[in-house]
Amino acid sequence: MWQLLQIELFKIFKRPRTYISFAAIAALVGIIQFGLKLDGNMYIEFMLRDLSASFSIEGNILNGYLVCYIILQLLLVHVPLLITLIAADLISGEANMGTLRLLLTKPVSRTEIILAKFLAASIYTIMLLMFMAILALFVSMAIFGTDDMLNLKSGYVVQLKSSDIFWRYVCAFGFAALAMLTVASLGFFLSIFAENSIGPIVATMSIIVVFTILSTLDIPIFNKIKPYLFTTQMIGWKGFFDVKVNAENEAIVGSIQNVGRVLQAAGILVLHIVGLLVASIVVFKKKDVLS
Amino acid sequence: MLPVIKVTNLSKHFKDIVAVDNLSFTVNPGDVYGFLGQNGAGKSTTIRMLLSLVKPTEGRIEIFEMDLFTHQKEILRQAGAVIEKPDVYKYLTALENIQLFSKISGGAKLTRSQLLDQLAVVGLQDRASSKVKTFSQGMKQRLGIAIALVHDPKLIILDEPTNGLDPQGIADVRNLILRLSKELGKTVVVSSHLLSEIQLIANRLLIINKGKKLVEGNASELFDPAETLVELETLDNEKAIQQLQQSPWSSHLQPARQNTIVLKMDKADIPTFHLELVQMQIPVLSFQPRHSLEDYFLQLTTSNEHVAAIAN
Repeated sequence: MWQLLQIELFKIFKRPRTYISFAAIAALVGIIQFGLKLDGNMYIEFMLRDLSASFSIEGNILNGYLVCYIILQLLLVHVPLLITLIAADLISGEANMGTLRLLLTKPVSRTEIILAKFLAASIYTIMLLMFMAILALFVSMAIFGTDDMLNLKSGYVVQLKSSDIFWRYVCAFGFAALAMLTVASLGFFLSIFAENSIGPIVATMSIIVVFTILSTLDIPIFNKIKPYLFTTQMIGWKGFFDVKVNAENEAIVGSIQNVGRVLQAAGILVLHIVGLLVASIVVFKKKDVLS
Repeated sequence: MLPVIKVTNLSKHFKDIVAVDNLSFTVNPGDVYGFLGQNGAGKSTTIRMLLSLVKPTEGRIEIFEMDLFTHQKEILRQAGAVIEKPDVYKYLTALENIQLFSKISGGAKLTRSQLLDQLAVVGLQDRASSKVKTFSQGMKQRLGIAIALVHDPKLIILDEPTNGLDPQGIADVRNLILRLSKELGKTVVVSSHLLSEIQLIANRLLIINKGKKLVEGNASELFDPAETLVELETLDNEKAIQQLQQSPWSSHLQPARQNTIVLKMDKADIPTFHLELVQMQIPVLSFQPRHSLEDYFLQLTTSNEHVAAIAN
């Protein structure tokens, strides 16, 4: 199994297309950081236009923590596409190349192949998120410095102490990893049915788009299914930046407003991952390899 | 002698299509077992079932006296295969490809120099560091064979191994198969749609058509010289038939076919027959000896090829 995993990782990281995702993330994060460095104050003034009439806000508002939050909000919607490019190619790409049949004539079980490929896709996904975390958080901290973070909500603002933020990002990136692994599982599952990469990539993205629209539509008939859609839960990472407040309306350090909600969202994502992985194993074990 | 492969009542249905129909055969140790049939006869589906790529609808496959579906790993550890086009990872080098597959083939761990030796067996040692995307079809085929042999398997299954190869490549593969069998004692199952190709290497063969077994047996028996057909075309076939009917060769005459006279005889009698044709002053336009099995196989395969030729 370990041998298979090593081989799968070797194959993933030997392909130039793997690095497109890393390059795209680096470029996007860099562009946002460049833009905010040059014109960030205008952006902050615009964000705080309603509050500045009532409050006097001082300090390094546009700090690395806030920049990271902005980047995550913008990019976590698009990262699934980059994840899908690899995950949805893992079986279908091999079927297309004709290497799947060669692989299956070796003394390894189909379950082992699926698990090794899924683990490899998970490692790739986590590496991509870690890369994003380094660029979005650590590089932003180095460029913009650190201070308390203002988390703007509709109608109110949450001020997070600078000493109370880093762990939230660790948890947020952990949660984002779960969300992206769900996308990877979906792309991986669909790749079992196809003999070229395009089909499962398009199908995965189509499902994400449709589910995202359903998640955001405020129509009563869809409200019942919304909690079960993984797209509804994918933005659960924001829950780590919602804090409880004390009687003086101050943020309680180390608190999360609705831990149950965040855990429920994570649980639903884990169920999706496990369900899709089990389905992948079952389908792949029954599949006739004719490619 | 216990068979290496024992297939019993094997069938595969793809919805309404019967790809393999109640097929049974055995392959013995050391055999070069020729598996013949026209395109679409069910050869590849059968070979894929032997390698557990395709699940049979019915039937049983035993390899090395073990059931394939309960002892898949043990069996595949002792088998190597090239199925149709030998597709490998094009973005990797030949050495990386063979190294990668050697790790999961279940054989001993090989050093770089041992892997290079394996590539040398198929003449690719000089291209070990070249990416496979720069390889010709023949080179890919040879690399596929090297990968199939990397873990020193007892059983080698080759599905149409000469497809896309030039004459030299075909001869190289043929010699390699003979060497694997004769010098190294391997059991080889080789499929082809060309009888002439199989005839040169196989000691046993099976012909299938539309998924069903037509003929199975030892090549020496199936290619019995007494079963040689001679196709004769003369200036005046009617007159030639009359002359032959009055000669000792009348019992050898077979039903005429289009513009040819057909006689069945022992291969050893052909020179005498040739001389007597001259003595009878029969003006011969063409003289074509062919084994009856070849003739039978040709009839089987040409019907569709004619359709294809007309369509083109």
